[in-house]
Amino acid sequence: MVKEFKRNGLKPRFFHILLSLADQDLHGLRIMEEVSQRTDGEIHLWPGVLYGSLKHLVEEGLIRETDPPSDSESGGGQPRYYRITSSGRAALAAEAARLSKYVAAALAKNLG
Amino acid sequence: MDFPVSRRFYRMVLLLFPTPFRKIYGGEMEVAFLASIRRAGQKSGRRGFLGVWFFILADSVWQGLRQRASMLRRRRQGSNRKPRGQRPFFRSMREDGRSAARHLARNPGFTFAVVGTLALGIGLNTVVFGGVYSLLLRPLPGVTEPEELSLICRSRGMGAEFLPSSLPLFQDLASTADPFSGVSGWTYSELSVGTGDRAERVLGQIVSSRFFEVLGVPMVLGRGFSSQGPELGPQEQLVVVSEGFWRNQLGGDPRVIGRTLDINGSKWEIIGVAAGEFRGLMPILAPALWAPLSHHPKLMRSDDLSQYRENHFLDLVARLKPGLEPGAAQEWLREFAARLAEEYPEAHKGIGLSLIPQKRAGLHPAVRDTQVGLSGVLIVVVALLLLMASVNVSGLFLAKAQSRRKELALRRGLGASPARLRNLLLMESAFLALAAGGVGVLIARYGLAGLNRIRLPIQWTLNWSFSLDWPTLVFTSCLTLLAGLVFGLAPSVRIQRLDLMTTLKGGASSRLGKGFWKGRLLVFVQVALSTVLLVLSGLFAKNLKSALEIDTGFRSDGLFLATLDPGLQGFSPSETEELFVSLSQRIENLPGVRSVGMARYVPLGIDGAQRLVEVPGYLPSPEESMNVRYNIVNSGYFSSMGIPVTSGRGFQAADEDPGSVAAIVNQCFVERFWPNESAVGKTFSEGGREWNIVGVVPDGKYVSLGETIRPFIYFPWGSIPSGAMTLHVFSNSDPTSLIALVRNETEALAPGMPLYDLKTMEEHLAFSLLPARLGAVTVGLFGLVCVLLLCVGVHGVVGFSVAQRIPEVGVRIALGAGVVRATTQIVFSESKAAGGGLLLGFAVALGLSQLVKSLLYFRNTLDPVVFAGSVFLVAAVANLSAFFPARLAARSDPSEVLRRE
Repeated sequence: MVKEFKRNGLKPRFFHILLSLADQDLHGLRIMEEVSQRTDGEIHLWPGVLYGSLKHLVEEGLIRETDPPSDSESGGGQPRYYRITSSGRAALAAEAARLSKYVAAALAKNLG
Repeated sequence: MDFPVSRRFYRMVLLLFPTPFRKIYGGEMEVAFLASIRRAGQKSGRRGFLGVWFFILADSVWQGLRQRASMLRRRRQGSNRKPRGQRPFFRSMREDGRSAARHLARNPGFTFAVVGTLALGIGLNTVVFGGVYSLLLRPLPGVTEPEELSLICRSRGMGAEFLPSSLPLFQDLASTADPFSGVSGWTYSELSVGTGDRAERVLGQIVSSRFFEVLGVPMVLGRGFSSQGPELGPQEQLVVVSEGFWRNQLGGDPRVIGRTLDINGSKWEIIGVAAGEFRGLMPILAPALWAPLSHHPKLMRSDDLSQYRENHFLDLVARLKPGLEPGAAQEWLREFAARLAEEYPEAHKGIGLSLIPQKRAGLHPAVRDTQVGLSGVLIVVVALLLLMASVNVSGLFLAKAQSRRKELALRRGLGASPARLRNLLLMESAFLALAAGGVGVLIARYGLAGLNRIRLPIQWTLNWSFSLDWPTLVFTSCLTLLAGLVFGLAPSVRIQRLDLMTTLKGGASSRLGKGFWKGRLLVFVQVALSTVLLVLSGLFAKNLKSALEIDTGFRSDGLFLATLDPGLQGFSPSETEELFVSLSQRIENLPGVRSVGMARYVPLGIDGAQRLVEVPGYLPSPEESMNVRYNIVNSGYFSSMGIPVTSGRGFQAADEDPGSVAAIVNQCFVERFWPNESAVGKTFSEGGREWNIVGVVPDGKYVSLGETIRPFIYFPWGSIPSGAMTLHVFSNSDPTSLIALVRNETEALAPGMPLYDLKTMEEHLAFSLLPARLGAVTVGLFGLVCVLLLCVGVHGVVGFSVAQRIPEVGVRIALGAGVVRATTQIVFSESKAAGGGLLLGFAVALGLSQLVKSLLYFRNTLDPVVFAGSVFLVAAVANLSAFFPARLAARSDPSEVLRRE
């Protein structure tokens, strides 16, 4: 699966979700807020897309559900927390490398 | 903020997702939804709120479908997951889409009928919703944060609510109003404005100094009135003009600030141009300019009203301090009113003050209830029409599916699952609904543009500003989705019951629906409704004809009207009189002019007044009103209007004197006070004067065409101060050719004097004909739509039923019945429901025709032509719609049919 992502690239929404989970375990709402903040509101994961993607990523083995951290605040019942798996990390790194290759190419052309 | 309604609605939207998905993620999705909606609301108010809903709906529909598709896929494949990339769901969607498009293109008649019917329904709904949104729901344009604005209205109990306030009340409020960050007062006033060499009459608003600040109106150029000085505005004569006035009358001059305007005869300096979208607090009646309240005596030609607590003319608007609840402000107003009542008991006792949020005010709070009621009725009517259209189309669809059952069975035989067939039919209905939605939006666009062009025959142009806002478009999209579901679902559910083998063999049990009594009921109801509406349309059309033929008691052809108000231009009463006398003489000498009269009011217009009279020797009963309508006319009036004086004499030049006591009354006046006597020489008193009746004229129509005859008095011009007067010019030539000549004569006598309401009497009468026209057009339109729906409905129902009866017809023909006989037999048996509907419709129409009697200008509502015509038309439409599918069935080859059977 990771190979396939390597070949076709990750969809931006998967990339951003994995990026949010790269350094911490989060629940859905926090992921939505984090992505929105990081992209200055450019990417807003609406509930359907967000939870559809989370389900998909879990099925693909890139993230997995985990217990809430001990210091977690509750946000509407008991939200599910997600943790990035090693294949998720690999897919994220591959995607970042792929993107940085393009950025480097653009910079080399003095686009600023 | 908890958004309970949104929350409930979102829970319904979540039903789009498959149950297992919803069970796992539903709760969290709801939390995420609330977070999104809260964030958008904080960021961009109501607009953001609606925007979020749009995205949420799109997100839910798309993702819901995806999740359902992936669930289906998984269920079908068991645990064997197919490799990624094939996406059978999307592939089959694409194939179904192509096949549906091909099918629709091959059946243009069917496609056209379905799209046309639905588009009409969707278009009408969009027009009505767009109209209601523009008049009731749209936030006040051109102001900042309109949701913080509230109107403050005076109420007097006994249902007298939403009243304007006095100047002193406004000043008290503005100086102490704690809960508000600002309070402002405003009122309309007619102004005579000179730009260069010509003056014209425009509508202005007189406003307090903080008006623009309280509303937060952006300026294109310059500034609003300063809020630092006195509350009523500056002592200097300053004025802010609207962007429209600046562009049209002042040529859009960028250096307009500092220029002067001639208003009511004195110079005013322009200090600002308000941004175009701001059209005051009643956008439907947009003012050309705003002038400060401090100059109200000059602008309104009144006394200084700043000390009069009983003179109520100001509408008040206030902005709530941020974060303050309206309830707290209302409580404060209640205490404030109580304090005032203690301080000024004679003016404020029993007076309440109420706070009405601007967004709930509609056109004006006083007419809001009527507006909401009317809008509600209209919305229900058009929604029913759309429902009927959808059900009819569903019938058509079912008939189509019935005749296609072989093709569908073949597809089934070749391996298509029932779900796949259902998807195919749903896809077709989705295409049709989308096309209908598109055409509906087009219909609505032109419909709303047409509504914008409505010009009521009143002095000022109304700014309807109906447009296709995006809330209206969202509404239409939901409607389209709904319509598509309604008419697509029934056939696609039935198709699943299709019995494969018998259908392929062509057996009788392959029929899609049994007991299609619902379809018959539909025909029955529609025929009844169409009959009723057609009878009503006929009656209203006849009504319009009668209205045009009503004897108004005066002539309407060859009469030309022009109004002028020299007082507005600063003329003294004696100068005014002199001007009118010489102007009448000069116009009388123009070629073609036969006589010139003058009157304060034009009959059958919107203005008019009454006076309290006393008749010596007449004791009115306790309930009887002694208020009588009147007009102030000069000596030439009766001959210009073609009103004969039946006894006594008309007015003479000698009667046009301040001390004159001559009066002319109509026949009804005579019959009420001196039945069977001659009134000439009799007297009545009014306004402390004893009037002497010098002549009697026949009765006429004064207020509306439908009125019963009423007493009427004519006073001679000059005996009562009158202000504006309307010239009634009677000529042989085309009245419109007189416009330029009359203008020239006026210009020669009083340069710059504005002449307004230039029109022929026929144009003026359009206003009194408006109710009759509106009635005829609205009922006629609904009648037409109903008959159109009837065609589609009957065609669908009969088509469906006949398609099922083809074998029976085949047997009949094989046994020797001719095509004609077979056809008539089918039409006859199918038209039983229509016959019942016709009878019911006829009975209801008979009853209704008696009910609407009071609305009509003629008495005999049992018009045989209207009734027979409507019944005949409906019967013909119903039978013809049944005839075509019947003939098609009767022409099918009997041997072929029998072989299949």
